[in-house]
Amino acid sequence: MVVSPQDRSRGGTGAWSRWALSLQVFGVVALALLGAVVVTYLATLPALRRRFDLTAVGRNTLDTTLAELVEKLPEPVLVEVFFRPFDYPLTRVGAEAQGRMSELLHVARNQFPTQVKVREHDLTDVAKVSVRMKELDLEEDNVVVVTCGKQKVVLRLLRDIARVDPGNPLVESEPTLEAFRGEEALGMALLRVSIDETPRVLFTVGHGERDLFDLDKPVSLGKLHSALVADGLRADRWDPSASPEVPAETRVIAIVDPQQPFSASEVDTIVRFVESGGRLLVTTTGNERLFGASGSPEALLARFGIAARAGYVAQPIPDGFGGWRMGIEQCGTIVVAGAGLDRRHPITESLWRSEERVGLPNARALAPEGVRPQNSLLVDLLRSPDMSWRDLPQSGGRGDWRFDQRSEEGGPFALSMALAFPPEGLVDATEGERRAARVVALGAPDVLGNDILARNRDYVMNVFNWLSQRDYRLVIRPRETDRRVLDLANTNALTVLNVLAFGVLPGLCAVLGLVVAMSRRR
Amino acid sequence: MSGAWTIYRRELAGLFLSPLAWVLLAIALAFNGFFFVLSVKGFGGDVLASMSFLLGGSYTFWLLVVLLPPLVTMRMFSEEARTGVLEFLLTAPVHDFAVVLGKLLAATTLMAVLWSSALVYGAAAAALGTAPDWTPLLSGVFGATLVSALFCAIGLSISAVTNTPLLAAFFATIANAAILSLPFLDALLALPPGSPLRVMLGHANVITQFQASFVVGALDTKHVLFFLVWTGFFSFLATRVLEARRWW
Amino acid sequence: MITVRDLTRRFGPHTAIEGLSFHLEPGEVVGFLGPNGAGKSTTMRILSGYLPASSGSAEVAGFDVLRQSLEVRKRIGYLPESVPLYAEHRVEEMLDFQGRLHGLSRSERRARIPFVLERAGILDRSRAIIGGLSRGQRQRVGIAVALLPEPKVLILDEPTSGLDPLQRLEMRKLLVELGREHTVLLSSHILPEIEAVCPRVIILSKGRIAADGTKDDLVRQLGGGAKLRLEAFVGGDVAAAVRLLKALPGVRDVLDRGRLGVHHVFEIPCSDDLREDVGALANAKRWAIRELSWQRPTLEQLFARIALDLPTEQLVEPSATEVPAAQVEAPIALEVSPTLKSAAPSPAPQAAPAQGKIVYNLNPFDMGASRDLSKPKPIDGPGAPPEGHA
Repeated sequence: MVVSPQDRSRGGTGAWSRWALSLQVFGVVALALLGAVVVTYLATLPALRRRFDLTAVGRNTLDTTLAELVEKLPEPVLVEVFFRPFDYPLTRVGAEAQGRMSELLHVARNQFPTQVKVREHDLTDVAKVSVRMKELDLEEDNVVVVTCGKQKVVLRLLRDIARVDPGNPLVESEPTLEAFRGEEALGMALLRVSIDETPRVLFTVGHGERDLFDLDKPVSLGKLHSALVADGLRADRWDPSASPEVPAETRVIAIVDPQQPFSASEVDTIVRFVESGGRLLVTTTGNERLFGASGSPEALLARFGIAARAGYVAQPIPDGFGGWRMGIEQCGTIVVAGAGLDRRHPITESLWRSEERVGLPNARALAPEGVRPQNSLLVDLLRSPDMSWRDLPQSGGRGDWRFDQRSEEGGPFALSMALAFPPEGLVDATEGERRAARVVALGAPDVLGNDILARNRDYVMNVFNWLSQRDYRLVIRPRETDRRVLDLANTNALTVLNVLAFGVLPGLCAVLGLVVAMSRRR
Repeated sequence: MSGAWTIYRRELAGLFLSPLAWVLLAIALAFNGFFFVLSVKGFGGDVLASMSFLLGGSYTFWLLVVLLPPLVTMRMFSEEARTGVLEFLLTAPVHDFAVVLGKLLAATTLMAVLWSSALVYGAAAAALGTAPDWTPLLSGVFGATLVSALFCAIGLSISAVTNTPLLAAFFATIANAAILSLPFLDALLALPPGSPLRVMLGHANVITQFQASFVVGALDTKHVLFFLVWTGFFSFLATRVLEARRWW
Repeated sequence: MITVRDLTRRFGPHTAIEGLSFHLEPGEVVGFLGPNGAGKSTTMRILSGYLPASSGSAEVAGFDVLRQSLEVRKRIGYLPESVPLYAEHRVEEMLDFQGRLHGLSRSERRARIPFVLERAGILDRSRAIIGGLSRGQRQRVGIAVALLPEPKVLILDEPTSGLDPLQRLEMRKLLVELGREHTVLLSSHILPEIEAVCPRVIILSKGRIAADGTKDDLVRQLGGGAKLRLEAFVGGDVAAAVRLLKALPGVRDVLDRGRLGVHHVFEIPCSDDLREDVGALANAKRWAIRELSWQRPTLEQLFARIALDLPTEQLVEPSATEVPAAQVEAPIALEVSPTLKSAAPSPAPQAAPAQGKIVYNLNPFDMGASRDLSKPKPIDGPGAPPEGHA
């Protein structure tokens, strides 16, 4: 295409035609610019875009399981990244984990540009980020939030995504990345958000249970409610005395710390609900007069072969000088960690893996007792430490937080139990796993209260997710990292590279240049 | 297109018959090599990391990309315009675009020679017992060459404007740096998220475009096209500027 | 072969050429003559397709230089004034490049390159680096480059500029040879050069054609200030002599230039040679003639007038070596008329091999003024210089 100046300029004066021509050329260039922009834009369209992974280990390709998950997403997911540099000594390991997660998200975004959108928030822009964090109900940074429609999953970098070996500051070994499970975490999150259901959780009312919506009182369940909603559950109240039948589509019934007894028919309704494949969370009551009485939560648990023991479990507190203290109120808060967590059950497995702790104030001991449903499986989720004891109330009604070997029983005790059994009339074993009846007994209702929910959030959410059949378990092989390392210490690799970089290559150029210069002299 | 090929051969000969190309190559290779060895040490001998460091993963790479193409292309039009050879070329029976294309390819070839040094390092690593991942390495060299082509095209358009080579190099360097810093514009202008300009600036992010594929060893049509299209655009611009020389 | 119609080119407010129109027949050799800045190079650049015209049209070999630029470029050999060559290349490499640009095959290139180098007389330096060549050698290489694709039209911009007299002579010889095979348009600001090579000259002045035609035509067009000079003893009655002279047919005016010793000097402006008539008159009247000569202004004088932008009446005193002293005051208006093309000479005929070399000798010293310029003058030896003026 040749711009013909003649056509434009015939008859015009020189200066004028020059400007006219310039205008014309500017027009053509602008058109070309537009064309380039359009092609650039078209190239970004997923339909016209191909991406080839050239690395030997498939560094730029998602694991097939993960890829399938992404492909099956009902609508695009938004992955929001809130990363901030960690303080020493986690700086390095944190950066590594962040880097690997970012890369993973990057790969996902590039492989599925329509399905996965990634937004990396700049945490230096505090004002903007804090607004967004508030919107997402986030309490900490260094998290990845996966949102899909109304569903949202929060992945915490150093717990869900990566596990850090703290190292030993005494021998100056820095923390290292023990395991990176970003793929798995992302996969779980995708699975969770992609299943478009909001299981219904009903909290019973009418017996003095904890208030589901109150956010102020330390023992109320307001925070739990918002956490459940944020996690994609529908949490609501159910008054059995007002509507005797269990509402339809109820997945879980939760009974948290009732002060009044349930009527016999109510108990029957609940038991029938569970036996037909329903799910139930029961905490023991804090009302000493109700405890163990007919219509009490303990009586309900007894129907499933779980007994609650009187008194509160206590443990000695280290005094900081190598000894142990007893007799103080803090003894009443049991901290369960490590071996106290069941390492196989879906509820506690991840807690155990990431070395989390669960703190239970005013916890009652649970134990299997009586007749359990057929083919049932009962697991101690939380166990108090060996040093704990069951502190029985003194004459004043409260315990003294001291271990009385004669009258009091030593630990460990189960503080929370999970029971699963096939519902009535179900023969097919494979179906059984999916539709099994599930019951979780928790000896410490305060765990669910506003005050300490944040500390035990993982445990509580796992409980609800297991109960509502959202305990997805994925096994995704972590992406291989291709490391090909030259042995710098034992070989002369550096020397060779140095010679190459400073001697051979530039030298070759110099010599060739000289040769050319000489040969072209005459 | 045979005209472009002829001019490419001539330009290549012209480049490599002049000491400038060799001096540039020697300096760039030494510079590149220095940082490569440094990165090998820094990564504890990790070959792959060092390779991607060498080919786009580092600021030294971008420094070379910004500085070198202007130096290679500065003479291509401005010098010829001064000596009058341009008049010869523009009255030869070849299209102006063929002239631009030939020169662009020649300049790009020089840059490709520079980036190919990565292959030499790769071979050295292989000889030392740790073979690199060859296909991503090749795609890295290819990508680096593509980026260089873009900046060579920019250099050519500017060289076509002025008759002073040094001025051409100066302005081309500034233009290159400006293009690389385009993405910072949205922060500077405090554009609201989702505004069209911001989206466009995001797409104009050369470094990200490059690092999203070539550096990590993936070949993405989006990014390949991005560089091809914009190289084409600036070649077109250079052709128009060249043409404008005739009537301005 | 070349047709230019109403060609105008402006550079911003400056007009380089305006309303140029001329036509070259195939085989014609035409010189562009004009002072620096007259628009010679601009015209040639337009013809070569380097510059577009502001208005008007130009055709080379039947192709429009703007619309079919590539076709035109294939058919012309253009040597710009700057002799653009890649200094870092060898002569043969430069030619090879040109051959490739013109799409010559390998065998064609292998055959043509030594041939054109031979033609240009630079074959012995074919391996030399161009940067190391002298100006004259480079000019020859430039010509060889222009000649390589066997162009129908050769456009040579100042092919002799910057050369020493000897080189210039050789170049002139080469150009004469080339004129026999190609249509040649060459430019120069040096008149003898053009005169030596081109039967037809187009004189440009300030972007316009001042004259176009053979040398005779040009003299007639430009000045026409021919005059008869009579130095004679006419007795006492000068007025009577003047009257007698005026009575001669063809004489419009007689100027009395006063006495020179006993002789009286008359100048008689006339376009034809009236020497015989005047001689007869003098014979009849017994005037003692000391000098009777017919003088025409040389092209050189006319050109100098154009170059210096002098009024028509005033002619530059030519240097003594070139033209005998003559004071001419020709009150004839400069007439610019491109219609004289019909009077243009026929194309230069091809020399028959038996005739030996043919040159157009336009040396004003020689018989240039008296000879029919449209016919070539055969000379004997192939190596003989065309003329002695250098």
